[in-house]
Amino acid sequence: MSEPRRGPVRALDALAGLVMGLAGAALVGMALVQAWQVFARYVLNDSPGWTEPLALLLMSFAVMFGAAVAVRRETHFAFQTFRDAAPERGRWLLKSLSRLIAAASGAGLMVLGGTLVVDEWPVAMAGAPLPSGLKFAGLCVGGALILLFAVERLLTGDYLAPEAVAGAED
Amino acid sequence: APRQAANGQTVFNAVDVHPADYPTVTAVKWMGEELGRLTDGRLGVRQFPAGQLGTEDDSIGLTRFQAVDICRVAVAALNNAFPETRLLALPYVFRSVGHVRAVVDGEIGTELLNVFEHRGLVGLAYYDAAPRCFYNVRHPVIEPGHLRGLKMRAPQSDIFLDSIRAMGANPTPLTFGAVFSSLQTHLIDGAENNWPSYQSSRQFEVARHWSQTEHSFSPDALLMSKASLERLSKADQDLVRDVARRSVPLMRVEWDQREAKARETVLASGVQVSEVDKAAFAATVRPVLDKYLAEPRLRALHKRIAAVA
Amino acid sequence: MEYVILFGLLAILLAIGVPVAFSLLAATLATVLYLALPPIVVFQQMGSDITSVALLAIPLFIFTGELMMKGGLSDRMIALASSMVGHVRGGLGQVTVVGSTLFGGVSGSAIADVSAIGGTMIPQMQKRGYEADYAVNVTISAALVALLVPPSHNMILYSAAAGGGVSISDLFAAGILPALMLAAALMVTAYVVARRRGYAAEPFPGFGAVATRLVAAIPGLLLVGIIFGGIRAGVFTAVESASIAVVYATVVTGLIYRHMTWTAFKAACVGAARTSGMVLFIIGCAGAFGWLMAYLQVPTMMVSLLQALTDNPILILLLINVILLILGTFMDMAPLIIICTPIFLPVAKAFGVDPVQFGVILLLNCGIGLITPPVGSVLFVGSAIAGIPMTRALKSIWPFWLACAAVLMLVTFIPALSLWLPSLMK
Ligand code: NA
Ligand code: NA
Repeated sequence: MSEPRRGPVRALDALAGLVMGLAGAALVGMALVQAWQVFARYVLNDSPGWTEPLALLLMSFAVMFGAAVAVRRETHFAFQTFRDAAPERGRWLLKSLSRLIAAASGAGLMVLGGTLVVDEWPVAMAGAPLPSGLKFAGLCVGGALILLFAVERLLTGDYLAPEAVAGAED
Repeated sequence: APRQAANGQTVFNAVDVHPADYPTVTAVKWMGEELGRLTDGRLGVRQFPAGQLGTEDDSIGLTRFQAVDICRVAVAALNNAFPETRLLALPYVFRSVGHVRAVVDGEIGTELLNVFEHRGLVGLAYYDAAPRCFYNVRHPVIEPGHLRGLKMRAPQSDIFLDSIRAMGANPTPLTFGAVFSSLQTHLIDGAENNWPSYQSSRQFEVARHWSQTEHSFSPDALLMSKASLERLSKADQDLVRDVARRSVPLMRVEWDQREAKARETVLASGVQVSEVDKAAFAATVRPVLDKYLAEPRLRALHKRIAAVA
Repeated sequence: MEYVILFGLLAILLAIGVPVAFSLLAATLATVLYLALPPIVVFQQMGSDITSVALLAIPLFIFTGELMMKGGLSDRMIALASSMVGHVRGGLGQVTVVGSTLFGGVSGSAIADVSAIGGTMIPQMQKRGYEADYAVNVTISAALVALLVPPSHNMILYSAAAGGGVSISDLFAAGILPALMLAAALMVTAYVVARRRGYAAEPFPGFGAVATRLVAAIPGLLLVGIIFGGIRAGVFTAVESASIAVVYATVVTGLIYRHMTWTAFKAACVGAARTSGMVLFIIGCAGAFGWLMAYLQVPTMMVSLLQALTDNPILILLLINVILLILGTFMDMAPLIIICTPIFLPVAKAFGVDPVQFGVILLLNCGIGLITPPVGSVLFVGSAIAGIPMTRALKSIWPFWLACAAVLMLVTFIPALSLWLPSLMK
């Protein structure tokens, strides 16, 4: 039924799988960090200041990674009634435009998010001994992934779920 | 960037997280009117109060990137990027409102307005936001020992976290907006702030014990985008700086009135106010000062501040 | 011109099926470029939004929902609930509304609510033959109750935006009756819709079965108790309670029940990250869009428009309602409260509306905005959890909108509904 997946697509399957794994791990990290805050406050009677900035940092990565993979799988919320009613050629055009906009947004996030990282890097974050620039690192890395996955969609068309192969996404 | 109207008028955008009737906001409003009066309407200010355009951290970035031209922020938000401003936020550096006013009005104040340039900002003025004191839901706090075991809200600032810990309390970082409900549920036992914020946030409805600790006189800074300012002629630049400087005494009159009124409202509601052993509190934060003043430059500045009458 | 670019481009992009998040971002960027503002501020705003403390609880509650589902905790709780009210038509819908009313008081956030309760209830309703759109509609409208049940972060935000002159205790008390009315209206709606769709009522299994299921559901109930009691008693914040819930659900399902396999756990993590990514990314883009709306002073313009139209107080209140509803369809709750309060409150006050009552009106309006397109974060979360396109949920949401609108009208025109309880406490 489906063609065998080509090399580059398989590589992107693996990358998307890795990215989702990291996003999931970031969520676990968020939960542990916040739970530590509770433990430290009541058991050690000492509220560390670093838990909140760290949890926020993990959240920004989880969000941007999740958003990037959603670009690949095209699961972002959209109103598709009009597009689905269009003839096939129009549908293809609108989909390509949509993917182009996603790619451009990804490029913007990567470049200007990166600029913010560099700009804020020399300043220490309040509460945690980390550079402030990290706050925008999720945007930058996530933007690069959005760009990559949007270009993949532009080149290869609709997302097809990989066969149940070990190591593929999920 | 300032908005250039068709008639050649230049309108600066100014942001503040405080509401429209707050003294810092009305001071900047006055600045706009005064600039308009002195330039026949060539220069003006458009305000975005009440955090409409974001938090204090956001507004520093907005000003640096020239999305807006003027912002008012607490100096605590500037401490990490501009180390000299730490002097203004550190505990028990100032003796009284008169002392902090004398310092920011004098030579040291001018120097401290010039520390922002390397990150694209110009300091226009320092506004009052002091003194800050502790208040809590549990019991009167008169000496540092009474803070032991109390969970005190701390702003997300290294200096405040360290100071509150040194004074014996357990600092709990929370956003300002979450303080009221956290006091109500006893997630935290108390917080520290100035009279007007204690009153306007309605936190006095739940935290009924105020202690006159006056541990910080941390002021607010009025900053301008360097590029926005330098777009003006030299004469206009001087005018903007001068009008900003002249807004300070006006702001102080309103601040004093607001503080008196806040105190009156709070006292009428039956809040218990305690005078405290300030020397004892000051002694507890000695290690914090030593840590932050390890740098010779800051230590020298501290000496000069202490010498101001 | 800038307004035409901002709203026109947004409308076009949305209409041709560009994802909501990218439509918002593209419209914002295009307008910023037109205004010759530095485009970097758009990303600064987004970065600041997706690292905002107010949002921390959302992914953690979504995570908790996933864990409860994959670990079998939700199954047991729903089994209990349906043995108790399953013999009412649309019984699970009733369970959802009651759950939201109780839980809503804790989270104080409609989004956190819909993540927490929806994560559990929507899949369960689907499993029992309720159509997905019904499950989503009940859950997302029930989440609005949370905005009014104390403690509500949004009321604190309103008080702050009002310049601190409005007592938060009064606001909390004022929200209670409207919240109960809204809950009742939604339960009736859920019943009527369930009846018309012919959802089968299950037979009552007998008290013995209820008792057995109660015992089986205890660990799950404890989890709710930990979240609910923990915040109420001030043991932890909503964010911390969410993290404790994650740890607890993992320990109970993995180590005690041994129902949760390593594979299921990984799937829960990835599933939660997937939903969180989609939801918070939109919130970030909406944050940048809302920032530009504030910068362009869109709400101020709408008010001057309104004042030019009429000076009849009833019409003014109705118009304020309509404007807030329209703004609410574009903007998210927190920016809307911050921007609209200083503008509308003086108008409302001038027409004799009490600031406390106006707070309830404002929150309810903003809340309804959360379940209307194009920007309705609660709508997004609900649809994401059910795995259906937003448009499908929208086709059948109108009875629930009607119920919310009816309560909104009652709150708008009967001041006592908001002001009676606070007056008792004086
Ligand atoms: Na609530
Ligand atoms: Na909406």
